[in-house]
Amino acid sequence: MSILSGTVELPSRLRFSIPAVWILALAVAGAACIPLVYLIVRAATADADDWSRVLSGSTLRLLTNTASLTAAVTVTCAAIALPIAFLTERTNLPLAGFWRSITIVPLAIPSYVGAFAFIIALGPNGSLQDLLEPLGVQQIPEIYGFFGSWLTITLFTFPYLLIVVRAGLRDIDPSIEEAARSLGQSAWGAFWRVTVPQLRVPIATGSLLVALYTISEFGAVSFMQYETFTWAVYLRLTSAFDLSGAAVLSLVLVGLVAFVLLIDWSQRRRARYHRLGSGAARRPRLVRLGRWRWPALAALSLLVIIALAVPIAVLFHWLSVGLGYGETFPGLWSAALKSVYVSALAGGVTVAVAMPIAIVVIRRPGFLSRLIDRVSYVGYALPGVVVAFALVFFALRTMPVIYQTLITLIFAYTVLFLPQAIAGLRTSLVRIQPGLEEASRSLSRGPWQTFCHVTLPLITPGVLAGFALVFLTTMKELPATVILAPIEFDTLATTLWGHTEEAFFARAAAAALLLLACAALPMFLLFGSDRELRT
Amino acid sequence: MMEHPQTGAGRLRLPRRLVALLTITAMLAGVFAALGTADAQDAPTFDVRVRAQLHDDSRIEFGLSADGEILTPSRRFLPANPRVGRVYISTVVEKLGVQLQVIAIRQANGNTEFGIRADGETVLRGQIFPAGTAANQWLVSRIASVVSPDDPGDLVIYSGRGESLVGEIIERFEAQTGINVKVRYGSTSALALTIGEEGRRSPADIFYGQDAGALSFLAEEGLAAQLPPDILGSVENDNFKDDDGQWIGTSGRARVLIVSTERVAEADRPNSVFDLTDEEWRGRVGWAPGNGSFQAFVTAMRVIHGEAVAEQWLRDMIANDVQCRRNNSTQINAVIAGTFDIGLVNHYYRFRPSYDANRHLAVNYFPPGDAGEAGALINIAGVAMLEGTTNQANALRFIRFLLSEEGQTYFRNETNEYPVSAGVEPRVDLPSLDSLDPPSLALTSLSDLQGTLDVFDKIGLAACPDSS
Repeated sequence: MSILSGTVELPSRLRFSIPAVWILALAVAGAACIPLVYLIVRAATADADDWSRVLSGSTLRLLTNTASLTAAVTVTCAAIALPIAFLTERTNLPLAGFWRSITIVPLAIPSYVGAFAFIIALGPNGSLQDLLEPLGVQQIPEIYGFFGSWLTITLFTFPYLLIVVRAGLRDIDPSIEEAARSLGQSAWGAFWRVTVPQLRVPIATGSLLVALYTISEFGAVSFMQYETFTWAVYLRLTSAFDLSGAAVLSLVLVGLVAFVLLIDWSQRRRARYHRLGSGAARRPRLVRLGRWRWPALAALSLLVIIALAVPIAVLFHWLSVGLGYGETFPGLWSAALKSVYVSALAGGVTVAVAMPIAIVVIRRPGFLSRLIDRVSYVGYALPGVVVAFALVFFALRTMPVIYQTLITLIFAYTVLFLPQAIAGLRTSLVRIQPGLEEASRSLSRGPWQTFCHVTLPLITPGVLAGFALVFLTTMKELPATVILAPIEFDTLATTLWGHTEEAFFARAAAAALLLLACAALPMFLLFGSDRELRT
Repeated sequence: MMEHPQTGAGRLRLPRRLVALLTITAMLAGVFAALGTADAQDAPTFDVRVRAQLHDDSRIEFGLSADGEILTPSRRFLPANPRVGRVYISTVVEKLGVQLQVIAIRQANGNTEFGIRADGETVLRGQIFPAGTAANQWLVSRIASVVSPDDPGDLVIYSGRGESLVGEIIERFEAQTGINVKVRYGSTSALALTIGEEGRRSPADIFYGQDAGALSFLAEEGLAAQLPPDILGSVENDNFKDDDGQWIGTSGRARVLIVSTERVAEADRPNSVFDLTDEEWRGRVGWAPGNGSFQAFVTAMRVIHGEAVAEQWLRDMIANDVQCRRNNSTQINAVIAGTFDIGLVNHYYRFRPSYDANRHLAVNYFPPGDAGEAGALINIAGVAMLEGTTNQANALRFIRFLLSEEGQTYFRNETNEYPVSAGVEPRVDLPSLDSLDPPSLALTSLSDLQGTLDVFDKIGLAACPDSS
C-alpha cells in the first residue's frame, strides 16, 4: 500500500472504501473540466452559420499553421533546454547558480512584450538592421508571420521544459551512470544510454507543457500577425462578439489538443524509474568542461542576450524617453505587491491541489488515472479568455458570493496552470521508491504522516519546480486577471497591458521592468544557491 | 544509507524552504487583510476654507479649498467697487455630494467678509479679508467642517478605456459626488463579453467602451437600459448615440492617415483613401484589420459606396502590398521606424506623449466632399447603463457628468478627442467636425459589422484581432 489512502489495511475482500487520494484527484479533475462543460453549453446555442464556418477552408489553414508552429516550437525548446539543464546541473560551469536562475527568467516576460521588443529590435528598419547595414546587409528575414512567432514563443517558453528537465535530472541516481561507466561506457555513452532515457518522463512532460502553451498562445501571434486557432477564437470574440461561434471554434481546438495528448499517451509505456534496492542518492560527479566551458558560456550568454537583454534594452529605451518628458508612474508598487502575492498564492494552491493527481498518476497507473491526468490539461490548452468566461458562467450560477473575489481568481489560475504543477511533481515522484512509503506505513505511520515525513521531503525539487512554473506564469497572466480579479485589483500585468494598448510606452516599460524584477528575485532565491536542495 | 526522516512523535517536518515560502505567503495575506480594512473607512466629513486674493484691478477673486483640493467656482469675482452690504454669492462647486458656495459682503470700512454655504446653509461666516491687503497673494480663512449627506452609495464601472485616459475624470466625479466608484479596466471587447456572460447578475452599473460595436452588442443582448431623454438630447448628432437610446457617445475620434513628413512631401499626401491603391503607394501603407475602428471604417465604406466598391478597395489595397499591423500604435511605430510611410489610424494617437516629441509625423484629415469620405469617419467612445444596475441614480449622474461642460472639456484637453455635447469646441489644432463633414451614418449596426468580417473572410484578409 502506498501513500494517502484513507483505508486501513484489511484483507482484500473487506477493502471497499475509496481511498481519499482518489476522491481528491477526481474532485480536482472535475474542476478542471469546467471549461469543457462551458464550451459544450455555449456551442449548443450556436447556429448553422457557426458550424459551417468551421467547415470552411480557413479552418484547415488554421490547423496547419497551429500544428507547424507547435511542432517547431516544441522541438526547438527541447534543443535549447536539454543542454542548459545538463550544463547547469552536471558540469563545473562557472557561476552555475547564476545561470540556473537567469535562464528561467525569460518565462516571466509576457509574450506580447517580447514580441513588441523583437519587432522594434529585429523588425524591418529595426535596430539590428541599423547595426548590420554598414556590413552590407540590406535585408534581414521578415519577422512577421511564422518566423517571429516561432522565435518569440520559443525564447519565452523553453524554461517550461528546462525547469521540469532540471528537476528530473536532480532526481536521477548517479550510481546508475557510474555503473554504466564501470561497465566500459564512455562518458557520452553513459549520458546517451542511461541519463537521457531516464529523463524520458520530464522531457515528455515538459514538451507537452510547451506544445499546449503554444497552442493557447495569443500575445505573440497577434503582434506577429500569424493566424493560429487561438487567434481565430479571439477574432470571433473581439470583432464579432460571438460567444457561441467562439465556443464552436474552441471545441475544434479541444480536438486538436486531444490529438496531441493522445500522441503523448501512446508514447508513455510502463517503465520504472526509481531505484529498487537500497542505496543513497549522492551528488553526481560534475563533468569537467575544460576548454569547452568557453563555447558553453558563449552559447548561454547569446541566449540570455536575445531572450532577456534585447527586451530589457528596448524597455529601458522607452523608459528613458518617458523620463525625458517627465512621465510619472503611479500605482506601480502596490501593483507589484499584488502581483507577487497573488502569484505566490496561485503557486502554492496549485501545487497542493495537483498533488493528489500526481500521486494517482504515478502510484496507481491505469486508465482512470491517465484520464484524470489528460483532463487536467484542458484549461491550460484553451485560450485564457475562454477559461475566464467559463468561470464567470460557473461562479455566477453556483456561488455568486465568491464571484470576482480572490477565491475565484486563484481558482481560475489553478484551472489554467494545473498541468504545470503536476509536471513538476510527477518528475520527482516517479523517482521515489514506493518501498520507502510502504516501510513507513508498515511502521504504523498513517498515510498523512507518511506523506509529510517521507514523500514530501523527497520530492522537494519537484514541488519547487511546480511552484516556480505556476508563479511565473501567473505573474504575466492577463485575461483571467482582468475579468475575475476583485475590482480595482490592478496587478503589474494588467497595468502593463493597459499602458501598452494606449501607447503610453514609458509607463508600460516601467511596469514591465518591475514585473521582471519581481519574477527574477524569487527564482534566484529558489534556484540560485548551490545544490543543497538534494535530498 | 537513505537519510531517514526523523521519526519524532508524529511532528510534521517540512523542508525549510517550503516553510519559508508558506510563512511569506501568510505574512503577505496578513498585510493585505490589514490594507483591506484600512480601505473601508471613508470619513464622510471634510474640511473646507475660503481662499481669496486681491487682483491688480481691485477685484477680489475667491474660491474654496476642501481637504487641500482647490475648488474653483465659475463665478468667483467680487467686482472692484461692490455695493456695501450686498451679499455676493459664487456659483456652486461640489465636493462629496455637498453643494458649496462662497458668500462675500463688502463692509462699510472697506474690509470684505467671507463665508461658506453648504447645501444652502451657512457653515462659516465673519472671515475678514482686510482692505489694503497686498495684491496677488492668496489668503485663507479658518476651517469649517462639513458633513456630507447620507452615504451617496456606490457605482461600479467596467471600462474598456484605459486608466491613463479616463482615470482622472472618474476620480473627479468621485471627489465631487462622494460616490464610491470602483472601476474594472480591461479591453472593450473582453469587458463587453464579460457582461454578456454575466447577464443581469453583472456587478457593473456602467459599461464604458471604446467603440460602438461593443455598446450595440450589449444593447442587442438586452443588457443596456433605456437612457432618459435629457441625456439623449444633450448629444445632438444622431450618429453619436444609439437609435433606441440604449447607449450614448461621450467623445469622438476621427479616422485619419498618419503620414511621415520625412518621406512624403506635403504636396504628395493622398487626399483620399482611394488614392492609396495607386502604384505610388505600393508597400508604403499600413492598416490594422483586427482593430474595431478599422472595421467600423470599412463598414462605413460599404454603406456609403456599396459592397462592390468596398470589396474592390480592400482587394486593391492587398494587391498594392499593404502592411498588416495589430492596432493603431503599432502602425505609428512602423511609420516612425520607416517600415512604411502611411498608416490608417485614429487622430489622437498623434498627441500621445510617446509620439508627440518631433517624430516627423503629420495627420492628414480628409477634406469635405472628398471621394474618400469614409476616411473621415468619426468613431465614438460611449457609455451604457446596464439593465441589472442597482445604482441607477448614480449611473445616470455619471453619464450626465461625462456629457457636462467639465467632462467634455476634459476629453478635449486631456485625451485630445472631439467633444460631442455641451457646446464645447474641439482643440484649435483639430479641424472642426463640420469641416470634416463626416458621413451621415449610424455606427450602431452590429449586423453590418458581421458583413464586414464576412468580406474579410471572403477575400482572405488576415484580420488581426486587437485585444486580449
